[in-house]
Amino acid sequence: MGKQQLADFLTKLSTDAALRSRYERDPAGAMAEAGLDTADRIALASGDANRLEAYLGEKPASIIKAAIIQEPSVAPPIVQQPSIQKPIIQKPIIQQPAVKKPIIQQPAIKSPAIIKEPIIQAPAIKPPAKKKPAKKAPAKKKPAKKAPKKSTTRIIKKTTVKKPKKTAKKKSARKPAKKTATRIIKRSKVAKPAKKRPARKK
Amino acid sequence: MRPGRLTIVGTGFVAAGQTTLEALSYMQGASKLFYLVSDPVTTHWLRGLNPTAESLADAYANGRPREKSYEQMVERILAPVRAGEEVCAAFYGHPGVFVDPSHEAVARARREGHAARMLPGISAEDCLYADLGLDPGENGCQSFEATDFLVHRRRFDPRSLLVLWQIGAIGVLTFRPGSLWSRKGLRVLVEELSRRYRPNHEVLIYEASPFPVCPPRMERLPLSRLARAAVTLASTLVVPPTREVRSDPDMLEKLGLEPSE
Repeated sequence: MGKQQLADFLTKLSTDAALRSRYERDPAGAMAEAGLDTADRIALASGDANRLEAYLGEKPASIIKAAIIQEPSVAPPIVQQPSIQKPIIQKPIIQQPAVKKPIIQQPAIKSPAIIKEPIIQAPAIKPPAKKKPAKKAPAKKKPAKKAPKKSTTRIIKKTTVKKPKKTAKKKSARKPAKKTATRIIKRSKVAKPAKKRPARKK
Repeated sequence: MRPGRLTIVGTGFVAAGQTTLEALSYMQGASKLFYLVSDPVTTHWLRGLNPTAESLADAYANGRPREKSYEQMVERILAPVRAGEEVCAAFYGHPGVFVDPSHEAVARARREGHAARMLPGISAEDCLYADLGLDPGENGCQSFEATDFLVHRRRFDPRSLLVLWQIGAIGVLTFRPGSLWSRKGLRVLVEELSRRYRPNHEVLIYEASPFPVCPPRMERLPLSRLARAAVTLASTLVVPPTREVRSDPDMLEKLGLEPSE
């Protein structure tokens, strides 16, 4: 019966804020009022969840989700994944000293709901690298080494956006440089100058 | 025969206090209540709420594949539903988070023409955010079941928060006695994480407390010590982000955003 009393007391502690604060102020007094016996009080006063659980006696049933293990045939693609993951690892290597944590100005969003404001970090590298494309363009394989750098991505984007017709040859030379970069470029191209592409092909 | 009704609810992690009023009403009003909870206080409380309360815990057996245990639970839950009863099944935490039989019971009941729904509950992840003071909106959050994370080599971004569940049962698909099912699995996990994080990268072992008067476990330690740490089935690994994230200037431009000083 004693343990049931303790279980009841614990239930009340989690649903009755007044009792909870009384317990926090005067544990001994609150436990005495609840009629807990000495063993109950010792177990409760320990504040140790494992000890309390052991004292209460009933073996808990943990729900452990069974992971779904795919057939081995799915395994081969895993081998390719590390190469895809590399850029993700390398990106953080760009440690820029400037610590700017400006918060975006979100004047348009004024809904009553709680809108979390994303913290916009200062750009890693300022975009003055206009000369780089000229250097990188002739070198077909070099960009592969520089792939993780954001500057590379930015340069490519700029050339694709600003000089879609003039740099047709250069782009074809850059294509094998970096997978992630080209993906981004393609998306942006599709969004805006969709007509320019076929023109190049023709 | 009229179709039955099934409602799956969650009891949260702290007995009674983390159960929603909606869930409470279904548990009280059910003609049959099943439960699978992790602490004796909740067990005692549920039995007081509804005299038909019946534990599903005996479906577990040492060495038995957990999938078989879950199948048995599903069938036990559905038997009275098929008989036209108003059935409620309560699982600790959120009934749809890291719980197989709950989803399966709802799906199967619906296929058989019964009304079935799941109500949300307070999950361990909810407790984690509150106890550790973390906000998934800050750096994002990647959450994986630990065995799944390893076996399928889940890709993740170390610049974002990483949460791995069930680190005490890595690589184990059966039910075992004891609080830690695989020390070897932990070692493999550390080995894998060490490819992305430095050995001294600080990680946290977190365990929500089932009792209102007991604090949660929040142990900070370097990654290199994780394999030797006291880990249990209730342990969750929290790996904080590695470093500061930089905004992409092109994306800022596209979105019309400007960082302000």
